[in-house]
Amino acid sequence: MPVVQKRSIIGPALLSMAVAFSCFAQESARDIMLKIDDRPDGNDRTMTMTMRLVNKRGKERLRKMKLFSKDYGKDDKSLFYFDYPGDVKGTGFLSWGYDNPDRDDDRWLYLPALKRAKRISGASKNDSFMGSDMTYDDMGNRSVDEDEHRLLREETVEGHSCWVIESVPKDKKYQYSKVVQWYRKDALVSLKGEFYDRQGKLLKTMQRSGIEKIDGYWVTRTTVVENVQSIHKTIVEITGAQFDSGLDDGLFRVATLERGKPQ
Amino acid sequence: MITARTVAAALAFLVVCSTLTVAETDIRGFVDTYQSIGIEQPHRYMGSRTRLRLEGDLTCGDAWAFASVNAVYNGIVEEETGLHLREAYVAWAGDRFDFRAGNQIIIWGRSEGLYVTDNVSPKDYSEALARDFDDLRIPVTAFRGRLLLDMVTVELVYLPLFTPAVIPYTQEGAESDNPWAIELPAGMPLHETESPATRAGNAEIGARVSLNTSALDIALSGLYTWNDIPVMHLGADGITPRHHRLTVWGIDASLPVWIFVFRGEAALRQGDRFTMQSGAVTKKTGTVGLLGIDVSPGNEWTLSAQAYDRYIPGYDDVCTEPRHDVYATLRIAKNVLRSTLSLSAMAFYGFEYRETYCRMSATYALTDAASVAAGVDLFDGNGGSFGMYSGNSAGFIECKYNF
Repeated sequence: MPVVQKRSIIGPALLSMAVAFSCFAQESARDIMLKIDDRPDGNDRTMTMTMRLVNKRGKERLRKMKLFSKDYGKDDKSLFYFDYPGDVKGTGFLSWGYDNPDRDDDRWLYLPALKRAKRISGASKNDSFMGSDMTYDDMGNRSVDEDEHRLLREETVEGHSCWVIESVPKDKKYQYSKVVQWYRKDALVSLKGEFYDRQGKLLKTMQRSGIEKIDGYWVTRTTVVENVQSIHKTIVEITGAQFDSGLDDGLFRVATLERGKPQ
Repeated sequence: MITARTVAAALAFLVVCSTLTVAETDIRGFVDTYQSIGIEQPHRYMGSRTRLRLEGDLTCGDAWAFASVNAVYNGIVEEETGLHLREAYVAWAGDRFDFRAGNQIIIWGRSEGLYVTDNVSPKDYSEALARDFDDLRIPVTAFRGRLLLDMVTVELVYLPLFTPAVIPYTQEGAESDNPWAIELPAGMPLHETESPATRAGNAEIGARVSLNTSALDIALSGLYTWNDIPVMHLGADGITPRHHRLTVWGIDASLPVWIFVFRGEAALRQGDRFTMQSGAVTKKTGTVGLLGIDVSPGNEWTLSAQAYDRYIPGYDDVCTEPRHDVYATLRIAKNVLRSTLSLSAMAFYGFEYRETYCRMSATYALTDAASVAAGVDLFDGNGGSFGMYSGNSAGFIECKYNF
């Protein structure tokens, strides 16, 4: 489950990096999506992620985790360690993600109670991520050519000029029938999005705020994903983002995962 | 034996850890209570325990120390009541090596609830299946070093002290407070267990070489050990449990294919002992194999199935154990209500004794820290690992607070 993916729901919210560029108005939607996919995001990343899960009665649950990720060409490796709540503290999740859309991620799960890493399937992507409003696929990589893209229009949102792009999955069994996102032209960051279920009804909305540059890369501090059908939302906040700190390759080994800590 | 003084020292260590500022400290744990009552008359208590688990890390650079302590009140198995040191070790990690010394749990293999190559840390059957499978392990005093290459890990373990499995026994027909005690024939006195003396020559050593690739995880292992569960030697004057040397050669693998993960384990057990109908014990090379499949179809369903066979080559008809001892397991789990409610069912079936064991449970997260679980353990059969508990079917409730 790559942590920082520009075309995931959450990925850009975690670390949205961009370089300034001129208007791509004449470019196709696919070209725009390729540029978004290719924008620089550092060679490696470290951050702390907090998720607040809020149900329709306003009751909150909290999830905290430490994330590490590193690029290997177009592929990447990422490592999660959960800090909170206590029953999952120390749980580790290692993923080797691939740009090739035909290739599933490689995944291992470390449970402190079992004291060993377990190989798990990389193909199951519509499971909820820690009870949040995101699925594992929302958190992971999605190749540009897994969807058909269409530039619907250009709009100004909160003072930022945006492309409004509709992405329709080629796989008709995919969890969404279509996704519409508003991408900031200056930062190549999705400012908001709408996600439609297989019946074509609006399922989730996404809003981002607190977008700023850290170490020369764009970071989104806060992302709110709301399931409008179940009236449940997840507020994701990023702190302590670091880039290009030279994460060792060894951090992404299964043997390291089995230590139960990023040591 | 772990003394209260040892445990107090470990607790002091944890407290000191929490006050140190030169290193990173982390204290965590839980309080839980488990109560279980028999389904059949006279509705005997099958488990009653309350436990405080305290764990702490002290990390300084590339080195760290870890300790884990249980404070237990057990209303059924009195020996379990008290302070118990679980793990306590120091560790160091370099770029290509890591090392861990002290009391620790070492788990090999890939099976769930059945053991093939997983023979380093013995099991505590004092409450048998009234415990979670991951709570059965007994820490061993060990030195463990690992050479970490890109995809290959070479692990060496050295256990200077032998640690046996814990098995409660009772004489047939005798009253026992522990419903999980294994009955021995009446009128046969049980002598003291003959365990290996504490000397260098009786140490256990092992190695495991594992390869983790995108396509396949595979490991080869060898362990020169003692059988954790003693063999019962029947004599004219009674029964003498005795541990014997055992060498286990193993291979285990996991193969992910789409939503499936195929698992396999096999072990060759040189020096396995089997009891004959005459009461004599014979030495053979046994084999154990397991095939499993995990399925992740999505929507928070998980399914897994396993088939296990312990086979005795060169089988002798006068052996009291079957030529093939075959088990099958099935586990189904589903998370609902945004993962606040976990439903699971795991079943074992033993073909030789037509025995079954099924645990069905529901766990609900009341808050981020607190959860409550309820379920049933159902046993049936006329013998074997599960069938011998056929009168112990029970309902249970477990409340837990993590901190």
